[in-house]
Amino acid sequence: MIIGGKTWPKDLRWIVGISVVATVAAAAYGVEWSAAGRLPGGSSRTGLVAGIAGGLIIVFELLLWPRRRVRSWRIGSAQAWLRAHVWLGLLAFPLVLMHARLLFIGGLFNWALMTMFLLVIASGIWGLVLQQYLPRALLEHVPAETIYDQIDRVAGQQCDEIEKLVDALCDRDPAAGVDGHGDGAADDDVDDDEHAVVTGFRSMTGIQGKVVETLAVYAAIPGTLQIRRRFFEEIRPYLREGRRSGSPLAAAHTATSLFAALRSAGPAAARDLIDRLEQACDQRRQFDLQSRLHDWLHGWLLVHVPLSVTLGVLLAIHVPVALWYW
Amino acid sequence: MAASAPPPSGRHTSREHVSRIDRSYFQRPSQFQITRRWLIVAGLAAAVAWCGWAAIDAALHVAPGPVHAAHAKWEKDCSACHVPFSPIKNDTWLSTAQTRHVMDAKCEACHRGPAHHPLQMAAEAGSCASCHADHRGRTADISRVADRTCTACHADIAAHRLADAGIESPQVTTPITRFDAEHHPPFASLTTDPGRLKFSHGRHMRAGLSFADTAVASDPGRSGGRASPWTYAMLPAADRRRYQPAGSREQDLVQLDCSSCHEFGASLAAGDTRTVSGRLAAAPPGAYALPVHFDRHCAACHTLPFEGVVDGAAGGEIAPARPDAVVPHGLDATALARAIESAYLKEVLATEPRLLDEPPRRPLPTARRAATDEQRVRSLLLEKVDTAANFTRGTCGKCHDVLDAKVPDAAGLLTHAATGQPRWFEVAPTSVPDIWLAKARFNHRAHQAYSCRECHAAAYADDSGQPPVGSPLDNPLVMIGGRESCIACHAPAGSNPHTGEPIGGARFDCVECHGYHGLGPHPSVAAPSVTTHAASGR
Repeated sequence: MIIGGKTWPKDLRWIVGISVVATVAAAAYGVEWSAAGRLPGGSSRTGLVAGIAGGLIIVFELLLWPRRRVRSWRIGSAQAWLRAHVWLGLLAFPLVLMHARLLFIGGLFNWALMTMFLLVIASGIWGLVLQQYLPRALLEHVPAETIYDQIDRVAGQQCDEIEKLVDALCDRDPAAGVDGHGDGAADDDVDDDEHAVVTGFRSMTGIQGKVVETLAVYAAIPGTLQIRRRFFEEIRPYLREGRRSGSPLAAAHTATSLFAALRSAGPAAARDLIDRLEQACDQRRQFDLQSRLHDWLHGWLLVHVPLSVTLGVLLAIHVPVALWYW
Repeated sequence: MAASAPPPSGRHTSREHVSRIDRSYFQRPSQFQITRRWLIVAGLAAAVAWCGWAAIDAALHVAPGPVHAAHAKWEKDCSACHVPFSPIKNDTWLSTAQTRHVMDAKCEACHRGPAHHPLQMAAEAGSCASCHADHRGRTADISRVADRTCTACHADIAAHRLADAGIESPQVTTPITRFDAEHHPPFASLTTDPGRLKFSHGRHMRAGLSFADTAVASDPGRSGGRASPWTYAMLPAADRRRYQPAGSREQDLVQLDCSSCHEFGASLAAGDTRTVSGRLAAAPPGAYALPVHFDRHCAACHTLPFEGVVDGAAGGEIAPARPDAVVPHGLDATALARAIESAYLKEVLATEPRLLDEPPRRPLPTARRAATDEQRVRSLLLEKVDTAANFTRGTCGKCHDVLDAKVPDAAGLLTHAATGQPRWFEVAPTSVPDIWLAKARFNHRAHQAYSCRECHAAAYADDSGQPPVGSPLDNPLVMIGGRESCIACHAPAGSNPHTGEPIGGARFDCVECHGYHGLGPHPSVAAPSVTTHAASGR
């Protein structure tokens, strides 16, 4: 959450500040509009002042990028920069709008510049809204959250762990090779034949998170061939690839049905194994959700940042050209 | 996602088991970061490419729009009108008198924009482009400026003009903010008729050009003493064709209409010339009626005898006693004297041709009798000239104000030393404006769909059948509808609350009628102040 929460008093000061500035600017613009009888343009008194202010704000907004790249550049905290970035960016919108004669402008270059500005503002607002709500959704719905870039790695590890468990506890498939149904990948992770390390997540008294357990493996459970087959045919592809695999397990209700069928068909001693399989699928679904939320949470930057850079270049051209012939 | 390579032994340590993530992942750019970088490069490239395109075709990219068609030649030559770092408008933040002077010089290289008013405050005058903003498209009318450019001063004109010589007419001091009955004064040039022509529109617009059916007919003092109605048969053949409408008979009463006398350029006969003001000459064809001309519009009924009789066959007009006992229209006093004297000398020489044959003789003792004959002829001649001068004074005075004038003997043909000069006269200028609205423009052609009566009702004969009140001469009346007749159409569109019919809707902005730099083309391109134009040229 960028706005609100503990930082609300600071946000409130910004809101009041930009509201006052925007109101004063709008009043001055209105007075000049009324006096002139036509929309003041970019070269009018208020239009030019608004344009200069808007231009400086855009330059400041662009400075956020080097500020984040050069972390040794200690001019204000990152949080303060981000807050100023958000609120000054919003203030730039009415100022630039007044400078641009409320969009009654001409010239392809001016329109390109204005379009860039509007897209940057729109993508910024969209990003702000997403940043306001998605982190909370991530916290609530993805207790197994991991680092986005490591999702595939963590999911692969988890798959290997579960595969080892299945390989050790389920009957060998006579139709398969010497290694049963497995591809042997999990064998590399075996460092002790009597133990298996698995990852799970727990939720206790409002606190939820991942746990790593080491389980003792005693012997295979008779009557679990069906579980082994379902694992290698349906569960393992999903655990490795997630929703990219196209597995029906990506849907929670389908997974629930599948595991309910396994429980009813399998021996009672395999319940714990089935529970762990279901839990692994549930965790993989969380990774899928995390991946989706992450794309939403940061995807807007793929629009906002490149367009901001484009805007900066066009602005750098606009200023001297506008002053040359105005 | 890249996974860390397995240890050489092929087995993971316990430490690796609990290390669920690759600790060096942040040292490698993620796919998201790579994509973002490429997009930034693409954005930069697009911006640079766009700037390059803009540099090639600056007019397309930088100019807010195409320039007016008249300036199209300089569409891509910004420096033709612009000066670097000088605002072209004077309502910008950094405009100064210097920048305005520099920018206006660019416009004035081709255009001459006369000053608006001698009492105008120079500092308040806008730069050319402040009012005539270009770059609004090829067909935009950049001369049609917004009302605010006028009302900025005229809403409180006293505060926006230099101290003057006490000219404080209501029309000048009235605040003007828009064109309607409340915010625009009545038209100043229609308050009085400056003309000095005696005329009766009421009589000339009546059938037969006569008050014969009214009490005026029996009052010689008011009707001119004669009231016989005119029929087409009484007109000369050439004029009859012009005045008689198709389908009428020669015995029908003459019925004139506005166009009988008020002609517009397009309807002039070839070869017809009129002397008009420079403003009328520069006006669009058909915008204004050409001045009424005696020979074309009056002579069909009115001759100018210097010796005449009442002609019952000609509507009771005074007809010439002889066909040649007339003078041309438009003579000054000297020309009139010479014309009359010449006419009588011809008559005398025609009856006494021997006067031409006999050379001047030295007076002999026996010449006393001959001298007496000459004196008798001369006396008779001078008496006739004197009578004709008085008669002609009445003839001219019927329509004109006449003023005494002296004609020296040397200028005439006869010597009046013995009897004294006749009471020669000259006709006062008629002073009828050829354009009545002195500070506004009008175009009759644009209004030709309307009946003349809608704006000139007073010029029409009284349809009530009642005799005119007072003098039948109605020339003191201004017969042009003023502000109210304009407002009927030149007002915001609406509907009549009683009838529901649409009203208004025609433009009513200031420049619809007024011009800041004058009413016609600017002096550099306008016609001379007085010119004569022929029908073929109009």
